[in-house]
Amino acid sequence: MRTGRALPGLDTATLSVDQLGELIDVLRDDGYRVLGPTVRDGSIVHGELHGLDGLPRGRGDEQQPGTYRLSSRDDDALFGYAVGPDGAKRSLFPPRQPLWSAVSDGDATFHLVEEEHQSPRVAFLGLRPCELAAIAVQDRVFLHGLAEDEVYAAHRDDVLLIAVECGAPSGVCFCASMGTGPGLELDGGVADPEPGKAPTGAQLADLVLTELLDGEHRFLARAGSDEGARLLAALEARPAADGDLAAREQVLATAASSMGRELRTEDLHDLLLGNLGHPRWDDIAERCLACANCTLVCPTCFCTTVEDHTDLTGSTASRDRRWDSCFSLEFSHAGPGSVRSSTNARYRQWMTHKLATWIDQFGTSGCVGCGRCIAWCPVGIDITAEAATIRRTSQDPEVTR
Amino acid sequence: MTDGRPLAAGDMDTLRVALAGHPFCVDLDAAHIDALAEIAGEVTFADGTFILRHGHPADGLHLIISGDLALEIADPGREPHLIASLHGGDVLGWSWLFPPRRWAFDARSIGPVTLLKLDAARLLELIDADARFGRDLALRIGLIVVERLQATRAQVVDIRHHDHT
Amino acid sequence: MVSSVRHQTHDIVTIDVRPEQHPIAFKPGQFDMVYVYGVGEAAISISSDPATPGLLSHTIRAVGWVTKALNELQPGATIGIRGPYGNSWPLDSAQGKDLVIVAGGIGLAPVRPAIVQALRERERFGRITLLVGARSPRDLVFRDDLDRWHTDRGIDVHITVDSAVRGWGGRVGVVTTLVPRVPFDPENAVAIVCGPEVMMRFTAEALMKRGVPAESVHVTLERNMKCGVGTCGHCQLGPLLLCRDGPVFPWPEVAPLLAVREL
Repeated sequence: MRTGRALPGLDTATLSVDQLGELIDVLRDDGYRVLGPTVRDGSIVHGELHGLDGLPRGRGDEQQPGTYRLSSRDDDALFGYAVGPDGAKRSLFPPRQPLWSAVSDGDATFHLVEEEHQSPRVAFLGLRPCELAAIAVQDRVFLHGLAEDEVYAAHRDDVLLIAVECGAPSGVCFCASMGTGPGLELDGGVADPEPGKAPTGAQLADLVLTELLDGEHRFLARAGSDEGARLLAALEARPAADGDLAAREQVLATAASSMGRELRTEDLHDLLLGNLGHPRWDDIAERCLACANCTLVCPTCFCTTVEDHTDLTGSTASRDRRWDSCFSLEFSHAGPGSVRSSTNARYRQWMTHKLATWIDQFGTSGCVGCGRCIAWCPVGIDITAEAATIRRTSQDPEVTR
Repeated sequence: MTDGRPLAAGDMDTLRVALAGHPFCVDLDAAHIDALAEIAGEVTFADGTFILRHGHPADGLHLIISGDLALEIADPGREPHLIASLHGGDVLGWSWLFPPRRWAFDARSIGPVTLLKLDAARLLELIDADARFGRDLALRIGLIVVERLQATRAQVVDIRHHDHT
Repeated sequence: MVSSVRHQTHDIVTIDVRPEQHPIAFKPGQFDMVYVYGVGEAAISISSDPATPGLLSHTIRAVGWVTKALNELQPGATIGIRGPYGNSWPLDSAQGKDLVIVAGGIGLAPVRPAIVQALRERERFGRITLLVGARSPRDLVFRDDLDRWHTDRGIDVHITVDSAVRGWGGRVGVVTTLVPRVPFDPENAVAIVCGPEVMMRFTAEALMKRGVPAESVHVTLERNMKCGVGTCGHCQLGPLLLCRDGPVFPWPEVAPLLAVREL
């Protein structure tokens, strides 16, 4: 997670498939738990990798609104799919996280026991550029806000991020619209993204791989940090040939032109906030089940609640932090009832937060264009289509602010 | 109306000054103030007396000079409800403007009250005789009714707060 | 440690606590997250004197699990306090001006520290006016303070109730009816307003109608709060995170947001 800079020695190399397997071995020998894509329950989810065999060789995915299916490719690509329902968020920001406990001292008094938050040594292999962008988005919330979230910081501390650029975007992908993919350029500085776009995760990557399938099956590997360069050196990787660099350009060009969807981000913030009374929200509300799937699969959603428990005798009390969703009725409970009691209001909150007010709160868009919310919505609500409809039928060109 | 003692009904200068100083008459020209002074009289009430009684003939527009009073609604088995209180600078009573020209509430003094009472019958004559003046008066009263209504609606919502039923 | 529990009305209680580790310095308008063992936390405004941070008061109405549990605490019990969080009433911006404080119901609690501090630094301000509205005479809080402030020449206190029966010798009517009639210089005034959101909206409008510049009217907003530090997402109101950007705001910043239903 260190920013890239001019590195002595090897910063761009080409790896064979076997060397990729060696990479996993090197990481495990270094004490890292390697998490990466594996096939389970008909989808591609993060699991522990012990070697290349765990990867979804020859598998692709077909994603459309409300649809996710694995497919078979006619080659041996190891990363030939777009993105699965979960990602690094589940590890960096666990769904249930103990915070602290309290021990009763009797007579209605108690004292607190601080929880020790360890930094698990994890290497993520196979993160997509959109997933890295999502980590960058969550870093802004948890590390650069009013207070640093020490639990998140502990989880972020000792992780390696190894990205694989996208060669096969799916029918719901729109990372190109959000400025987060399909590739990662490492020579940029740590700049704010263009207005309305999400931050690129490029500066977070330790290593960026690109799977090349023209001719020999190989991987272009670029180091984004000292750690990444060290790994390439440890693998005795050969320097990248010009042909490999050109092949990467081709992969990215093909990917960028085959995005499944598009989201126009210019003036999107003002457009959405100027249309809070648009009848389209009612239309969406008739379809939306408020099931919260979108918030569960979204890699940037960060809302949480807390749960307090006691054991049976009441001698110890504890507090957990748990993922929450703005789609739940209790989420906005204030006073005698919930402020957002209608589905209209709750969907509007989610979408306007993700695409508009996130920018006011954290300086960038909250959407990285991964399309998960579109695929995993049981009724196939498409955030890009809804934004386009509101843009086309905008009722109020003036901003409500 | 009981216990009201009219004072100096013929002292026109005092009445003119009192009228001109009351917020209801802001920006009224001198001729109109004169016209009102002719039909006005200063009245005082002791603490705890009824200034208006529900159902009685609505016989005047009252401009309160000083003191406090409250509009009341009686309710069997309970102390009368206080609906709103009025003070120096306020206006009391507009039911004279519309049939059946009877008071809709009780109004009772809380402490001594001094007010100017403009005779309703003669006020209606003035309104008939001078359309512009009549329009001006009607709009002034209309504005007070609007403000009173808005405040009452806010009062209703405020009362409903913390009722979790 | 809870040092005393004062029942102010049938459902409002003030809990006085002595922090065990060290005093918690706070500014008027800030709030704490108060934890009851095994039950949970609630965001509660601090209602005590900022000059005595060794004794903090939190005034609450018992409406949910946590606040009901707080209502039943006895002196000597331990509670947890996180804070203070949020921003504070802009007393500095009222320097040299008339200060108008409008409190509805339990809203008197978050402004009480501001009143106490302003009276302590009396010479910094022009006229200080306190307008208090309550649902009924029974619902008035901090009655001892109101009585004391009535006789204090440094502050003009006006009280009104929405609902009363004969026997109440004071004003009847919503608190906004006081705004046009009490003496202060609207163009040279700063107003701090606290109470139910509907009351704050109407009061802000009444103040501006009288000529107080909109940016000189400040309100305090409340939504569901869990973390108090801008990471749980619960207290959002459009672009604002109330715990981080507020809870005190100048009126123009929040007026358009409060006008959107279910925002």
